[in-house]
Amino acid sequence: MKIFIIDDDHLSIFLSRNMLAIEDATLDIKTFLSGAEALEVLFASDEDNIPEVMFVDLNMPIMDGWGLLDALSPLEYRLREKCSIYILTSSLDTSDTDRLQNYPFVSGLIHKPIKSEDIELIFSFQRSQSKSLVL
Amino acid sequence: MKPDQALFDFEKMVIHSLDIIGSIDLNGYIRYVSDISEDILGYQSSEMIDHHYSDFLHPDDLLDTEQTVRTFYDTPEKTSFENRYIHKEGHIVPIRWYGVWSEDNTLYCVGRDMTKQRKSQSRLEESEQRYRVLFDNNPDVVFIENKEGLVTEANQQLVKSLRVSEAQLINCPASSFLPPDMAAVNERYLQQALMGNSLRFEFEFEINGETRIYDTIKYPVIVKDEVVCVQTIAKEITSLVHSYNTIKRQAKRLSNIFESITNAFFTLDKEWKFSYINCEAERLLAIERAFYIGENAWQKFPIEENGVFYRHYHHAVATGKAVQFEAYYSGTDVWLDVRAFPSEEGISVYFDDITEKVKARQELEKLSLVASKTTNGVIITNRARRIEWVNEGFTRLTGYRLEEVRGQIPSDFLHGQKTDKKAFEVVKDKMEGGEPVSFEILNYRKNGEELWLSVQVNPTYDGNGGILGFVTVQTDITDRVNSQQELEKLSLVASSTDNGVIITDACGLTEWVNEGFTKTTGYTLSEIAGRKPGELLQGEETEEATVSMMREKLKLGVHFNAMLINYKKSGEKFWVSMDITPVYDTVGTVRQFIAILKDITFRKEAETSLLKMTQDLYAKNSDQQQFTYLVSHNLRAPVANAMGLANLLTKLDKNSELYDKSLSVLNQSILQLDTVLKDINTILTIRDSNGNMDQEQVSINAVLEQVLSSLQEPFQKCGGEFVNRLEEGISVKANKAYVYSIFYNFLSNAIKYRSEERALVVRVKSFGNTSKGTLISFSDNGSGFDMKKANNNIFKLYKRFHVDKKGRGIGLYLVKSHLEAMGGHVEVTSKIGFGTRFLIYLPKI
Repeated sequence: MKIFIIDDDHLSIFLSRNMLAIEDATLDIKTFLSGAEALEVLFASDEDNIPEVMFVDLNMPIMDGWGLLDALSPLEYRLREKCSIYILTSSLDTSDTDRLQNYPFVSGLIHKPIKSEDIELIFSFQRSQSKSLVL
Repeated sequence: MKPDQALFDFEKMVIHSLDIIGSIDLNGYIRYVSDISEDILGYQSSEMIDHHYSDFLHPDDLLDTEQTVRTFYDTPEKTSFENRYIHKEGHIVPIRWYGVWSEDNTLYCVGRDMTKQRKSQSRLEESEQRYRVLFDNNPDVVFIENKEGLVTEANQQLVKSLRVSEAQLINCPASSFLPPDMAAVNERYLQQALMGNSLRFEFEFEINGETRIYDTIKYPVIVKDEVVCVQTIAKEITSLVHSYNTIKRQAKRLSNIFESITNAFFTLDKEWKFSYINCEAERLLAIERAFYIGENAWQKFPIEENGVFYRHYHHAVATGKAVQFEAYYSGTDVWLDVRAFPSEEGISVYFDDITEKVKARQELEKLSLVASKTTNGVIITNRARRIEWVNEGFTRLTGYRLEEVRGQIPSDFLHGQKTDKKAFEVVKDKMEGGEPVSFEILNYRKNGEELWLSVQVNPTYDGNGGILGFVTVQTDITDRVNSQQELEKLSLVASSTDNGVIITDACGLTEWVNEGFTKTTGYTLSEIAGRKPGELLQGEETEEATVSMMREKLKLGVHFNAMLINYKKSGEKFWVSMDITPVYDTVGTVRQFIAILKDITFRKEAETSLLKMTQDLYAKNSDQQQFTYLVSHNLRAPVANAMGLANLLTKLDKNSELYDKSLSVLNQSILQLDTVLKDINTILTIRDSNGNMDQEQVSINAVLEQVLSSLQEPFQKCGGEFVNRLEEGISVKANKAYVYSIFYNFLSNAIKYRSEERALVVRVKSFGNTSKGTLISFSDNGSGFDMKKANNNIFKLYKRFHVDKKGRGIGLYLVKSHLEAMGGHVEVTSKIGFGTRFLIYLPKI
């Protein structure tokens, strides 16, 4: 399973990557320090290289999570078929949750730190190919 | 009988005979003459005896007598002849002789004095002759018929008239030359005349196709009570009858003419008697002419005696000149236009009913009286609007007299330069369409003065509804218009004396400004008159967008308000609110604009300060939000990491490399948490000090030196160059720590984000130390950033724009916070690959 983690915080990436690896050591995890870097890779990849799951932090320099979501909006349909996007943020701000209503292709929002239960739930959804909002 | 007796008797007879008895010898000597000779010839017989007869004879008769005597000498018969003797007293005495020659050659003769006979005979002859002449030469036809009805005599006129010979008439009945019907008429009258009656009748007959008419008289010639014949005298009256008929016809024709003329007509003879009245006169005077013809007019119309008609007619007759006059006839309540023509026969009078006309005229006169006395101007024009009449009021108003303007079109000479001709065209069209119109218009007097008039034009119509002309009434409203215009201006001024008022024409050129304008802007009317206000008032900082909006609105001719920066004459900038209202004329064209200017600098300043307060509040609020964000995101991020790592550690083998690594990361997270907490402390400190931090005179150069020395190591390490273009001794009143922080952050950023491609150069420059504040730029030639991507987040807390460089995203936030705390602000411009330039402004407090 291919997974993208987009986060400007090294510590947070270290944590997320190891938490995911504990659950499934076979995962193909790629990390990006800004939305722009991730987009570059996404647009360059063929269908097969599109990740099944993408974790996106909101607060980043250059292109933050919102900017990334805006850039992905035109691709909404293709993404929804192929890729589940999860927002992974340390923010507890409820305005972020409200703002996410504008991006229906986002599968869910997870507050940092990511926990084993979150990962398990995501994987089980992923396996059953069904999608629903995870909270 | 005895011979003696016989002789005696003979002697006696001779003596007493009234005739002369005498005897003459053969030689002509008188032998005997009776004594009667004395009575007849004046001579005694003795005076005559032995004298030759010729001594007593009229000399003219000598030859005749001698011849006669000789002639009958040879005949035995008695001869009678006549000759004339001269009386002793000289007069002629005719004597008729009977004589006989005897054998003794003696002529015995008896002579009778024929004086008496001769006299009566010659009288008779004369009368006969006279009659004859009268008869023959009478211009009338005369003929005589005997009892048998035969014509015994006919005069030459008859012969001539009938063109027959006398022989054809004499002893013929009248029927032989008269046409049968006339012959019968003649016969009938003849019989009556024979019975002793005189008769007169008209006789008409045709001769050679010509009808002749004769006035004929037949009368009997009576001798001794017995009608012996009948004389007829016929006077031809054909031409008379013809002329009479002609006269009658002409009279009839004249009468027809008189009857047919629509004028009423009558004639009066010399005695003022009606000789003719036509039916129109009958109608107008309400009379029946049969009762008036032949009657004296003044007896028939007693009320008119010595009245108007009476005077005029008498005047006409007296002078022999025609008269014309208008008069009222009370009898039938009419006004009459009368023309009377005197002639030899009397006077002919024509008259017309002009009651309507007179009434109309009286009406007009009344109106005209009103029109002429009114102070309003009144113009009466024909349908082509050409003047027929104007009143005195018109002359008073305009200065033009009727004689000058008759036949002209009023607008041609009353309108002038400023007259709204377009508006007039509109009303003119209405007017010519027969609509009554009223309008106000600027006219010009003859002397060129402006004259505002309220004009009312009413069409007048003929009987068929066609326009006859126009009646125009003008009222001088110059004062009203002037005062109204003044009032309009004044009212505007009065409404707010402090407000400036500009009145411009339709093109926007200033016509008038009030004192408020001068007070506000410093410009007087004479300075701005004829110019566009914008030329003087607008300046450098006037917003072009507002000006073009104003232009658009002016073009549209709508009311609008605009707020813009204007400049007073002194150059001082001020905010003005302009209310601009177009003024329309009656036909909807913009005539003027009125602009009311309000100096709203104070309001604008208040607004600005309000805006600033709002901005401050917003800033505080946004600080608050950022602070929340800081807490919720940046403070929580290391906490979350720490929590996650703590959790991860429980799942790891304590002896694994990952365990140690995770522990180290956990340590970092906690350090991070500490840093954030320190930041929060810094921020809160700045915030709390807002507006009441310690301020002192800070030398920018001194602060920069401190900054350079504290960053000396990294700056020198990267080979940086510092270019100082600050004014000598430039200082600001500020918090020294903040100023230090600002330049420290700038310089450390410059070092951190320097370009790898070139040596770092940092320039600091001041832009004058104005009365308002100090402007300083800080620029580097570093890597720069994408201003578009950075959006306006560059000065926000924890916003970072470089992934490859370490940074917390707090430096520029602090710069901004410090400056704002001191009442200043910061702006940035940057270009990737070229560098970044910060511009800070510190106010003078």
